[in-house]
Amino acid sequence: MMDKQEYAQKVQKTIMNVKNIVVIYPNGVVANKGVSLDIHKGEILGILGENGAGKTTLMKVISGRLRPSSGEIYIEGKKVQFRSARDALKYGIAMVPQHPQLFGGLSVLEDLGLSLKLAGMNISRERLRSKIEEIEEKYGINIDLEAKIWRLSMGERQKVDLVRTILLGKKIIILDEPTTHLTPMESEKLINIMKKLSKEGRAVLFITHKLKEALMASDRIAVMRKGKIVGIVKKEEASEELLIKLMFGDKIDSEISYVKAQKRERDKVLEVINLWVKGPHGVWSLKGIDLHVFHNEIVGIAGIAGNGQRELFETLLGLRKASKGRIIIKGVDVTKKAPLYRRLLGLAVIPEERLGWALVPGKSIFYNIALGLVFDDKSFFIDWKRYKTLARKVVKMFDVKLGSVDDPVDSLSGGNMQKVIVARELLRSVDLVLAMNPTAGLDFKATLAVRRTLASLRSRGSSVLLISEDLDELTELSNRIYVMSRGVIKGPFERPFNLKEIAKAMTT
Amino acid sequence: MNRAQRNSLLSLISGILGLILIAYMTPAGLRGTFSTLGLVYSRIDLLETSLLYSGPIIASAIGLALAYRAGFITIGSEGQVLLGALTALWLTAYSGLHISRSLMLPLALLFSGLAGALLGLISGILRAYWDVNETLSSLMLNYIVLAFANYLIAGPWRTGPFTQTRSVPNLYAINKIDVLITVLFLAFIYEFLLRRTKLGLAIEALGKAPKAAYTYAIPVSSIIVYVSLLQGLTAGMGGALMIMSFQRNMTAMNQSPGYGYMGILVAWMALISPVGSLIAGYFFSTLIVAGYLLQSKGVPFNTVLLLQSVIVLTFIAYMASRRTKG
Repeated sequence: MMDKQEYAQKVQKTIMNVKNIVVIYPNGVVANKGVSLDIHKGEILGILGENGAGKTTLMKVISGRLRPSSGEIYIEGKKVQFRSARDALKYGIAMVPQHPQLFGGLSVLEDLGLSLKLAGMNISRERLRSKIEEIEEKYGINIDLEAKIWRLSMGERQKVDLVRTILLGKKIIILDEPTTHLTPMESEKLINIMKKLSKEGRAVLFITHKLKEALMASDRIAVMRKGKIVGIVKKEEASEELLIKLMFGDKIDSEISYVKAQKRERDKVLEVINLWVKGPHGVWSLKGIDLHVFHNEIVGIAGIAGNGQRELFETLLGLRKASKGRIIIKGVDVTKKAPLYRRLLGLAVIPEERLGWALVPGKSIFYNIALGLVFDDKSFFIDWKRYKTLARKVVKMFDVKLGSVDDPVDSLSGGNMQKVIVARELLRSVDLVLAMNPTAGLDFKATLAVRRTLASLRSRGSSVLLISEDLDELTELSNRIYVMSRGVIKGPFERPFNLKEIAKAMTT
Repeated sequence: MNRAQRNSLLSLISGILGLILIAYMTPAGLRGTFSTLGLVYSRIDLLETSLLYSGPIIASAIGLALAYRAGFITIGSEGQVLLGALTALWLTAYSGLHISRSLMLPLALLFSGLAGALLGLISGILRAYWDVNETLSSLMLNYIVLAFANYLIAGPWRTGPFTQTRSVPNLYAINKIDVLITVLFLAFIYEFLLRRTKLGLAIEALGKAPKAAYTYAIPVSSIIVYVSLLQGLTAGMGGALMIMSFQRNMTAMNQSPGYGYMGILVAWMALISPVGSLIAGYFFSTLIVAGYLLQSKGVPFNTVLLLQSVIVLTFIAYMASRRTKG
């Protein structure tokens, strides 16, 4: 029995507790199996777990976006029921979703104003502006309030979401995988913001699958596995080994034995010469890019989001016109060639976003496998049986977890989606893989699988142009690294990499 | 009962209540209205008439279903039906061509279909290569065709004392079986295209995830052009079915009572499926016939329209709520 004083203290400290939350999705998946959690005032509570462990589901329940099948939520000791995210907002609970959901056509200021209005707060444009500027100054966040949302990169959109959450989340702020689109330096900055927020007495829930970040930021870390909380560890007691053990249950081999860089052959798979490209608003996004990729190598492109990487990616694919310069793939000048021509030449792609960019939502897994392959084939008719067989092969080879290949692709977790996307390209004869942030948002195991696959592509003779915001990933995989900054290429930097030099190139 | 079931049931009940209320207020009364509606589904001759009227509607809907799946939101079917009808009328009544009846229908379908397809192609090319919104361009084309039809009717094609054209000769008139075979054939061909061909795969990708279509090198511009052709083709054929079966000639007043636009509604009622358009289109056609009967019972045209709208809305709400997840 707890004595009265201790109990009173605990109640005072606790903003929210959830008890026995069970969430069963309509497709029968049990995402939360009786989760109970206390959330304290002024703490950063890390929620750590693999993708599919139930973290996001739990946060959706806490932020009112999802009604649990059973279980109770108490705020400061009083039982509450959230019917929608708006209800939760009334209690000062706000969330930064993993993938920003903003109104594309609005300016940043308008978007934020609209969400305040939706939350029942009517304030004038001018007051809102000064309020936002106050927040920007206090936490060191920079956004152009007049910029249209659709112009912003994912990283910038996340900043907008963060500001919104600070405006709305008076008591509890939830950040769902907030560092996905950030550079290490930006992540560190975000963690500092989180610390400031918690010092003000708000509770910050920090969802992540990155051990280092969880350790760096959190006061307590709740580890989730298979829909349950398997342990809550205080900062003082936490260590990487302990957390890995909790996350994965059994011991897993976290040592990555990458294939060493192959000796380069002196012929180029890709050569980009003085490439000038205009961005979506008529300003130059790429200003005279020169780079090349040899056979058997992985070439990294480092840089902070929004420095022209997306335009480079789109131009190489043939989705954006080059104003000047040349793109040569395997000795063929493809600058003016259609995307299909380049693809048939052996160009493969792993886009930044999975659903919508790489996979067609609502369609089956085997349809999505076929999507990447049918245009290699001359026949007008589709032999679905063949693609079903291929899909089953992929599932087996890459250990994709699913019910059946007839299931819609959206039923897969992020990691399994990425496996399908990567595998689909590997089924073709591929000489150059164009990958953009291929492990963003993936858990430990899936990240490992994707990186190993890229490395094995190199060892079988293909090349990879890896555009990534994850410096660890780049230094682990690349033979050489270029840096993109404001539409200009710097480098290449050779192994062994000097991180300070690269970081400096990224920021100047 | 889950939410989807509850909602679909609710939409049915509220629709039926609405119908009862409107029917009660008509001059025919509750009983008269419903017995007339019932008549359409119990008398063979009325069911057959419905089949005739369904021709242009179903034909338009089949092509539109394909186009909407690709995210090509054209409303040009109205103009295409009209141009198709003009083409078939020219071929049968003005061209001086004398061939056997069994040859004329395929020939007329071919020419009318091509006319509709070319009209669709205009919107398709504008969208594919200049990014012109197809809804607007097709709407404007509809007006151009309407003006052109009026010019023909009042000018070069005018016969007799009234503003009307010659009629499709009796020899070339087609019957319900011809209509049925044509729409069945079209529906199954288009369903096959969607399900079993590269074009169908590309159409689905383009409609559901255009960015993925671009990223994975689907030749998007060509697909849009093909889709615009295929869409116009069936609507143009629908025009031939209309003029060669029940319409026969054109006057200043009845170039087309909007079968092409009805096709748009039917395509969505059928959840943009070609085979589904057969059922939805026939159902819609029975409502039109019921409407004519009700008007003959003294129910005003606008009330008839109201009744039809409530039935169609109920149907769409029912289908839509069944599809939403619980």
